[in-house]
Amino acid sequence: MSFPSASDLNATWSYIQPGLEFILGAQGDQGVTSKMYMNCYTAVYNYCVNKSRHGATATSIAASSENNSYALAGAEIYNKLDEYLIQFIRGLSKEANESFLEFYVRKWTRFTIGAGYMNNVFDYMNRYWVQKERSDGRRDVYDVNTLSLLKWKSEMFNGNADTLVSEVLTLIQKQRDNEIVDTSLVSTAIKSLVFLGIDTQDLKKPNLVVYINYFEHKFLEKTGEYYSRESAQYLQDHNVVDYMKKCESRLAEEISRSNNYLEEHTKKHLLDVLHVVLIEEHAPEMYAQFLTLLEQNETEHIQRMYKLLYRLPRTLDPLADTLEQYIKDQAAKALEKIKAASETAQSDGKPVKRAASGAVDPKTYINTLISVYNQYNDVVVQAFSKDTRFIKALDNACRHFMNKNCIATPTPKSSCKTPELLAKYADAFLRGTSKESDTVDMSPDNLMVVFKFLNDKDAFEEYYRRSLAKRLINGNSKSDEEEESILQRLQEENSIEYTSKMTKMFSDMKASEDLKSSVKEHISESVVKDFNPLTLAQSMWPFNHLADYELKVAPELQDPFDKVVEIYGAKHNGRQLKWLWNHGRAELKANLARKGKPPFLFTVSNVQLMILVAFNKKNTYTFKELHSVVGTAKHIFEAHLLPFTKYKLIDQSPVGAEFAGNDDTTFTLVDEYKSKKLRVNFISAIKTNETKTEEDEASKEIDETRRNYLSACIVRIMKSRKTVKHNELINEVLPQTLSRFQAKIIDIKRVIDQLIEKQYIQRIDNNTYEYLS
Amino acid sequence: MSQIQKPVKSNKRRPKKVRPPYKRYVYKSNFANGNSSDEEFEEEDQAMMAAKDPYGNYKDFDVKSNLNIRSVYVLTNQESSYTSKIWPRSQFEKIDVLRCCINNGNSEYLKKIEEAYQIQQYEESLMNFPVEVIVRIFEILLAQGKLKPKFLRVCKLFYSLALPMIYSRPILRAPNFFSFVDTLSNSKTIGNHIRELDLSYIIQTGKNAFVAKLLKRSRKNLEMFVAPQTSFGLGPLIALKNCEQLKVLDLSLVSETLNLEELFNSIRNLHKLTHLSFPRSSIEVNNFKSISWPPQLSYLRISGGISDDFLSELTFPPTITQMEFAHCPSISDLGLRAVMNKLGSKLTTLKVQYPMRGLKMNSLDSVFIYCPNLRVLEISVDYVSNTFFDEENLQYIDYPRPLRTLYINSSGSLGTTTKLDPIDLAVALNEGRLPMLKNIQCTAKLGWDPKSDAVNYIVDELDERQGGLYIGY
Amino acid sequence: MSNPKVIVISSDDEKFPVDPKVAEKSLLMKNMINDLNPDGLQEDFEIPTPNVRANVLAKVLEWCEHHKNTIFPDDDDEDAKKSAPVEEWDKNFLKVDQEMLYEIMLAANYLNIRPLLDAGCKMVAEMIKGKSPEELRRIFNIVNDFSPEEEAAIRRENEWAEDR
Repeated sequence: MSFPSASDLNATWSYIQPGLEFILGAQGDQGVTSKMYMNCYTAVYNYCVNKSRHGATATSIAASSENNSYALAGAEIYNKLDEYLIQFIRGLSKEANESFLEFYVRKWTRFTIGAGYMNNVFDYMNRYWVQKERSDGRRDVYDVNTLSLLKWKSEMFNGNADTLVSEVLTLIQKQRDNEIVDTSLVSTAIKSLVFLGIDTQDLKKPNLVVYINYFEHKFLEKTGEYYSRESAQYLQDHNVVDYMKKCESRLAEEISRSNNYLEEHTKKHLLDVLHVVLIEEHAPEMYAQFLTLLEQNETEHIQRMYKLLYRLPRTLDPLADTLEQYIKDQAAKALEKIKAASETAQSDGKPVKRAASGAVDPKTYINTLISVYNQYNDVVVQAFSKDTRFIKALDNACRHFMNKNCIATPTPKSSCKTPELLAKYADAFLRGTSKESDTVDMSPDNLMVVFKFLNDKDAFEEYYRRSLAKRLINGNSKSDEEEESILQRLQEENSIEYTSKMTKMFSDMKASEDLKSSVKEHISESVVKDFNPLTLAQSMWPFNHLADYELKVAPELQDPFDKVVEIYGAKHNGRQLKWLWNHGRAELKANLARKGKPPFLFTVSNVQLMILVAFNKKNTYTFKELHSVVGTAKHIFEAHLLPFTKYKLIDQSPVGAEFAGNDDTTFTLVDEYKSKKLRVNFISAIKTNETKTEEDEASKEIDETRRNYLSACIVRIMKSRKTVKHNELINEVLPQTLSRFQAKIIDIKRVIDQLIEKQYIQRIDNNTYEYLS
Repeated sequence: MSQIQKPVKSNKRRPKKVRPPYKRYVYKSNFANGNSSDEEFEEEDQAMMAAKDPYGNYKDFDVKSNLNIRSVYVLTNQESSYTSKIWPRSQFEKIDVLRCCINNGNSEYLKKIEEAYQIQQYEESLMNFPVEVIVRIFEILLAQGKLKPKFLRVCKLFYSLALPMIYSRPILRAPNFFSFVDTLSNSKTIGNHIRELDLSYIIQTGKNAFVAKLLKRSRKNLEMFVAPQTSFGLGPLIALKNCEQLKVLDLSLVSETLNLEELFNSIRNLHKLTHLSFPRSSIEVNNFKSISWPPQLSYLRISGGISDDFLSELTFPPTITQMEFAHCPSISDLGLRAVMNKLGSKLTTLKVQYPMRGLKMNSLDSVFIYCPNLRVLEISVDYVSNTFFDEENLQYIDYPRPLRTLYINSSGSLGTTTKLDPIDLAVALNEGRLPMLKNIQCTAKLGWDPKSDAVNYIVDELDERQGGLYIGY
Repeated sequence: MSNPKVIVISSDDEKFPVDPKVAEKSLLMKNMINDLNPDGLQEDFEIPTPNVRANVLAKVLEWCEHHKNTIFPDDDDEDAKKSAPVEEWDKNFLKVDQEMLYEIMLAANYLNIRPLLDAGCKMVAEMIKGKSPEELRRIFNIVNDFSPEEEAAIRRENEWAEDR
C-alpha cells in the first residue's frame, strides 16, 4: 500500500483528489470501486489520527486555548475540500442541446449522490472533528454532506436561481396548457430547493426558506395571472354553469399537480390564490345566475355553485342574502294571491268559509306559509347541505314574512294576526267536530313550524288557550294524546312557564273527574244522569263569571249543584266556587216525540235548560213569568230563548221578533216536536256578541299580560342595578322579552311611566332612573 | 521495527582441524597473536603457554592438549563496533549476551537502542491511540464516576484531555469548596470548562464574594447553575448577567430575600435561559411593569413569597409551557386562576405540590378547563374536590385531550383519604375524556382500594394503552 | 448468486468472506455497500481494509459474527451507554493481551463499529480505574513529561477534586 505520509497534508490531498473526482462524477459516469473508496477513507483517517496524536502531545498546558485544551485534526483537510468543491461546481458546464433546467437537474442528481459518498468517505472527520467543532460553538463548520449542499447553493444556485425558476414555471405553464412535459424535471428541481434551504442552527430540520423565497412566491404569482386570464376569457364565451364545471376541473387538476411535485406548504396558498382568482373575482356573475337557478329550481346547479363558493366562505354571504330576499318576495307573492282569491270570492257572494278576522281562511293562510317554508327548506337541505348560513337566511325570511305580511298586518300599525290565525288552525284540526277531509293536510308539525317563527308568542298562547278551554269543557278534542303532545312540544320550544296555564287546565280536568265520581255517589240518578261538574281555576281559564248569567236553578236540579259545592267545600276549605252558567251544556231528553218514536235529545245551554225544565210545570208562560223563573239578564234570556222559537219548539204569541222581548208575550211548548233528527242542537242558534267581546277580551288580556311582564322585568333589573340609564334599560329589557313577544319601545316607555307613578322607580335626571325600595 | 543485527565475531582464530565438542572462551590472552596451525609456531606457543598474562589469565592455550575444543574466541578490550540489543527481549532471539554485557557499547548505539525501544513501547501503548479514543475512555470513566484528578498528573496529554471533563460538573461540598474557589481564582482559563455548577450543598461555608467569583470565572460556558442556600446576595445576582450560555437557573434553595427586579435585570438578556426556579424565600418587588422576562423561558417553578398580585399583574412570556408550584403560602385561588387564564392554554406540564397553604379544598378543580393541552399533570389531592373528574370539570374538547401522565399526591392529612373516588376516574376513561392518558402514579394515601372494580378497570385500561397505574407512598 | 457475500480483505491480503449482515456491523462498510450497490447486493462484493491486519481482522469479524443479530440502541442516552457494564461474552472476547486489545480498538475505530469500540474502551477504563499515576505510566508505557514542580502544581490545583 502506498499511502501518503500521514503527516503530509499535501501528499494526502493529492492522493485523495482523483478519488474525489470519481466520486463526484467528474470523469463521466465511471463507477467508484470499493478500493478507491476505502483508500480515500483510509488516507483521511490516517491523516486525522496522526495529526491529532502529534498535535495533542505537542500541546502544552499553558498553550491550552480558552475553550478546549486539545485540538483534533481536520481543519486543513476541510478547507481543502471546501476549495475543491467550489472549483468543481464552477467547472460544471452545460451541453449545447440541453436547457438549463435539464442540465441543472442532471448535474444535481449526480452531485447529491456524490455528496453522499463523500460524506461517508470523510466520515472519520465528520464523526470527530466536525462534531467537536460544532459542539464548541463553531457553527460554521458542517458535515461534508451539508458542506457540499452549501457550496452548491453558493456556487451554482445563487447565480442561476432566476433562470432555473423561470424555466420551471414555463414548464408548469405548458402543462396547464395541456402539453406533455417531463414532470420529473420539475419535481427534482423543486426538491433541490428544499434541500438547499438548510437551517444552520439545526441541521436536521428541513427548511423551506429557499423554496418559499425563490420559487413559491413567483409560482403563486404566475398561477394567479394565468387563471385570471383564463377565467375571464372563458366567461366571455360560456355561461356560468359551464364556467363552474370548468372551475371544478381546474381546481382538481391543480390539487393533483400540487400533490405530485409541490411541497405541502404551498398547497394552502395555492388554493387561496385559486379561490380568489377563480371564485371571488367572478362571484358577481354567479350571484346573478343564482336567481335564475332558484326560479328554475335547478337544485343540482345550485349545489354546484354552493360547493364552489364554499371554498371561500366569505363569498357565500351575499348568496345567503339573495336567498333570504327571494324567499321573502315569493312568500309575499303567494300571500297576495290567496288574499286576492278570498276577496274575489267574497265579493262574488259565493259562500266562503267562515273566518273570524281578515278575509282569509286560517287553513289556507297557514298552509301557504308552510308551503313556502317547505319549498325553501328543501332547497336549503338539498342544495346547501343545511349550511347554517342558509338556514339562517331561511329563518330570517320566515320570521319576517310570517309575522309581517299583507294578511297578518294589513296596516303597518296593526298587531300581527298570525298568532290568532295559527290558533284557529290548531283548533280546526284538534276539534273533534272537524271533518277528516278538511284536516287532511294539517298537522302538529306544521303548527310547530309556524309557532317557531312567531314573534308574538304570548298572543298565540292566549288564543290557543281559549280555544283549548272550549274544547276541554265541551269535550271536543279529537284526541287527548294529541293535545298533550302539542302541549309538550310547545313547552320544549319555549318554556315550561309558557304552557303553565294550559298544563293547569289539564290537571283541573283530571281533578274534576275525581269530583265527578264522588258527587255521583251522593246523588240519585233519577233526574240528572251523568252530571259532569268541572272545577276550573279562575286565573288559568279564560272564562269570566258574568253577572248577567246568574240564573235560578230549577228545584228539581238543585241537588247535584248543592252536592258539588258541599263536597268540594269539604275538600278545599276556603275556596270559593262560582258557577259559570254561560258555559257548559246539557242534554235533555224530551218526550215530545210522536208515539212510537224514541224521545228527542236536545242539546241546550244552561239557561235554555232552566227554560225548558220550567215547562215541565206548566205549558205556557208569559215572557215576564218565564224570565223571573229563569233569571239572568234580559238580553241573555232573550237570546237563549230565541232558538226555541226559531226551531219551533216553543210557540211565541204574538209572532214576530219585535214582540220577543215583551213582558206579555206568551210562550207555549209544543206537544209534539217535529224534527227529522233525533238530536237537536239549540246552542248554535244563540246569537250573542260574545265572539266580538271575546276577541276584545283576548287582546286586552294579551296587552295586560305584556304590561305586567314588562313591569316585572324592569323592576327586576332596577332592583339589581339600582341606577340605570334609559338606553341601557331598554337594551336590557328587549332581549328578555324575545321569547314571548316583540316589545315595542313605546310600550316599554309607557310601562316605565306607570312604574314611576306607582313609585317603584324615579327619574333622577333626564336620562337615568333609580330604584326606590 | 528496528533491525536486529547479528553479532559479528571478532578476533576469531582459525580452528584446529580437531573438532572439539565445545567452545571455550579465553579472556584477554595473546592467543591470537601467536597461534597458527603450522608447526613452526608450535615452539613459540609452548613457550608462551606456561606464562600468565599480567591479568592473571592463562597466557597460553595449548591447543594440543585441548583436542576437544572446536573453536576459540579470544576477547579483547578493544572497542568493538558491536551493535546489538542490550538485553534479550525474547527467548528466541540469539544474542551474544556476554559480549553485550562486557561491551557497554558506544553512546551512539546506546541512544539508538533506547529510542528504538521507546518507539516500540510507545506503539504498543495507549499513547498510540488517536486522541478521540482516549477521550472516549475518559468519558466512560467520568460517567462511572471514576475519573480521578490524579490521572491529570500522568502526562500532558492526559492532563489536556481530562481537565475539561473534571471541571465540567464539579462535585462541591463544604470541605472542598474553598479549595475550588482558590483554584478558580488562580487560573484565568480553568473556569471556562465549567458547564454545570451545583452549589446546593454549600451551606454556610460560602461568602457572597466567592459565589460571585465562581460565576464570574465560569461565565463563558456555564449552562446550569444551582444557587446555594446562603451567600446568594446581590453580588452573585449581578454576576449572573454575564453567563450568556446559561440555560437552567435554579434558585429554589435560596433563603435570603431576593429582589425580583435585580434578578430580572440580570437575566433578561440571557437568550438561552429556558428553566427558572424561584427561591423559597420571600420576594421583594415594587414595580411589576419593569420586569421583563428572558426571551426563551419555557419552564418556571414558583415557590416562596410569590403573591397573588405577582401572578395577576405580571405579563408572563408566551414561551412558558411548564409550570410548577410548591411552597407558596401567599398564593390563593385568585392568583392561580389569573395565571391559568393567561397561560393555561399553552401549558404542557403543570405541577402543584403540597404545601400550598393559600389554596382551598377545590382550588384545582378547574385545571382541566383552563389547561386543555396538558401532557403532564401533578396535583395534590388536598386541593381538589370529588368533582375533579366529572364532566363539568373534565369536559369533552374538539380534539383528543393530550394528557399522558398524571401524578396524584397527598399530604395524608385528615380528610384526604376519601376525597377522590376511583370510580370517577374510571368513568372519565370510559367516556373517552382522557383518551391519551397512559400513566398514573398516585399515593396509597388516596385510600384507593386496589381490589375494587374501579381500580381494576383503570389498571386494565391503562395496561391496554401500554402504560400503567402505580400506587406508591 | 443466491446469497452474495461481502469479502473483507485485510492489509496483508487475506480474504474473509462474511454475510452482509455481519459486515454491516461496521458502519463504514455498511455505508459503502449501500452507496456502491444502490439496488442491493447482486454479487460478491470486495472491501479492502488497508489499516487492519489479518489477525486483528479475524477477531473483529468474529465479534461481528457473534453480534450479527444484536440490535444496539441507537443514539440512546449517552450516560447510560457509558455506565452500562460490558456484556459477559464481550468481556471474555476481549481477554487478550494488551497489544491485541489495542489493535482491536483501533480497528473498531477505523471501521466505525461503535459498540465494539465502547466495549474495548470500557475494558481499558477498568484497567485505569483506581490506579496511581506511576502504575498507570508503567502499565501503559507512558512517559512522564511533567517536571516535579509542574506535578506539584497540578496536585495543588486539583486538590478540591480529590476524594475525601
